[in-house]
Amino acid sequence: MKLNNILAVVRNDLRIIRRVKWRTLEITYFPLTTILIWGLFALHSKQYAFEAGLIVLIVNLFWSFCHIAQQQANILLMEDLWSLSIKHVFIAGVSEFEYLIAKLVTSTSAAIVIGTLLLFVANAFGAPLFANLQTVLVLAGIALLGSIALAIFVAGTIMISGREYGFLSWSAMQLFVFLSAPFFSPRLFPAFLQWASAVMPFTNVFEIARALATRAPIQSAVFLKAFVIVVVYLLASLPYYAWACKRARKTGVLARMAH
Amino acid sequence: MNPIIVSHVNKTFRTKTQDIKALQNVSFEVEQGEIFGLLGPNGAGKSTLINIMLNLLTPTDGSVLILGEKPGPRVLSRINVVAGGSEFHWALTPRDILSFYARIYQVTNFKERIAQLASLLKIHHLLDRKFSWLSTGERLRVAFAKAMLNRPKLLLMDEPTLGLDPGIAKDVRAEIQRLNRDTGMTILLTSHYMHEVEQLCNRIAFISKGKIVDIGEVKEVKLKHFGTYEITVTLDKKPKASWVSAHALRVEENKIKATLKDEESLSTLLAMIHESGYRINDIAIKKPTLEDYFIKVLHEQ
Repeated sequence: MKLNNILAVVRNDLRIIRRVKWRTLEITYFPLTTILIWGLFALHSKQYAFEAGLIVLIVNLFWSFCHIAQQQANILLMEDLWSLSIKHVFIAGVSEFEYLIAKLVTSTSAAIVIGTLLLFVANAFGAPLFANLQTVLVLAGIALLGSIALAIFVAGTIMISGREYGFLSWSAMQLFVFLSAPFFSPRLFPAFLQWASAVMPFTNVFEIARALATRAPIQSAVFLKAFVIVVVYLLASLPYYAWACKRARKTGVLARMAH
Repeated sequence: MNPIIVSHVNKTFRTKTQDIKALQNVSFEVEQGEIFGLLGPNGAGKSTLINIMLNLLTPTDGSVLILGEKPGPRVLSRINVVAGGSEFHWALTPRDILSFYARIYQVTNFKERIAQLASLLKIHHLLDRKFSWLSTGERLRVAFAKAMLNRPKLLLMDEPTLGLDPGIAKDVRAEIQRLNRDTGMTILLTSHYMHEVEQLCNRIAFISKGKIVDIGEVKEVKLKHFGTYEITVTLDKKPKASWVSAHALRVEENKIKATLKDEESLSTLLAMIHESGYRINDIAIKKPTLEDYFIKVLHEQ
């Protein structure tokens, strides 16, 4: 693993983000407007059910944070595919893991910067985030690990299936968030979905986020469960990506993606 | 050890309906310092082979050694590639692109190196222009500069003059020759332009339907399939019938037509005409070109 290669790819990705104005807009505009909309909704809900408004606001904050971390890593990969420049990167001697780590470093950095901004905005709308900063930071760390694992799974799937599956970059998170029961208890799902929900990477994250909004006590077991699940995802995602790259070389998908 | 050693390489792509044999028992070696041409029609397996060399594809069996190593990140940092129609990110400038690859190749004093290459390839005025604004020829020169950054020991060139106008294509060919001559760089070239291959390559391999059907020096492989020169000698007068039949020649009016095996037979024929007292007004020799060879081999396949 060459640190030099990782840093060169990160630097190049940041340069692309800087040069392509809509990329900067995309990363900041959607999450920021989302938090503004739900922040205003939370204020509006003060006269009806303020806690419900805060649940929507805080869950949306974590949702946006996870989305940036996962989506940006995969979009950066797709950008190399769309511009047909991925071939040059791989044939210059950058390994697939160096490449992946570089994409994750860039997307994680973007998620942390935008997440911090969203944190300030949500707090201004009355979400008790700074009051529970330690909980928020631990939760953000767990959410970040889950998003990274998901990004690796999506990158692996694109490697196996080709650029036609690039839509997973921006759509995969939706399914995982749905199954993670964002604004409601997983008990509302039919039985078979409750099973699925129990092993989703963000189910416990959203449960803690809802508890933050309602100021309910949070058991440390839930944190532990959340952490263990995302670590399992992460540990499973790495061999999957390695296998996907090997398979892409075997089936010719990698060579086709490069042309 | 030769820079490229391909041994018994097979590559089969499995689809739901059939197995596609892209390469079948392909073996050859490219020697140090030579320009080696890989020829073949579309779909023959040339790109498959190059992708294996670049570690974008793994062979079903057999082995490929590049500079004595299996294709992988380590050896890839010591070679480079130029492909016709090369693309880089549209929003980046050639300076961004070259800086990025210079960092990956760990080029020391890379700003100096970029300036040096920009001057050599006449792209210094394009360095800060977005890649999407460059013409095909300008893009190729950027790809060339990228390929030269790490002073590669081996350069793979996949149809480098594809889509270029004849003037720029000529410059590119001259540059390839200069690089090979001045630096001793080994070059593997694929091209559909036969005159280009004929002009540049020391040896060629002809690949068809995944198999190597011919390999050797350009002249050698041509002669293997044609083995002859068609010559037409125009004399000052119609030769005597007895002289013609004595030498087993074909004659049309004052023109003698003959099919000769080699240059030696050619000198023998001309000496014989001269000794018989005929004056030669004109000589036309049709040598088989690589294009004739390409079409003939393709037909035979």
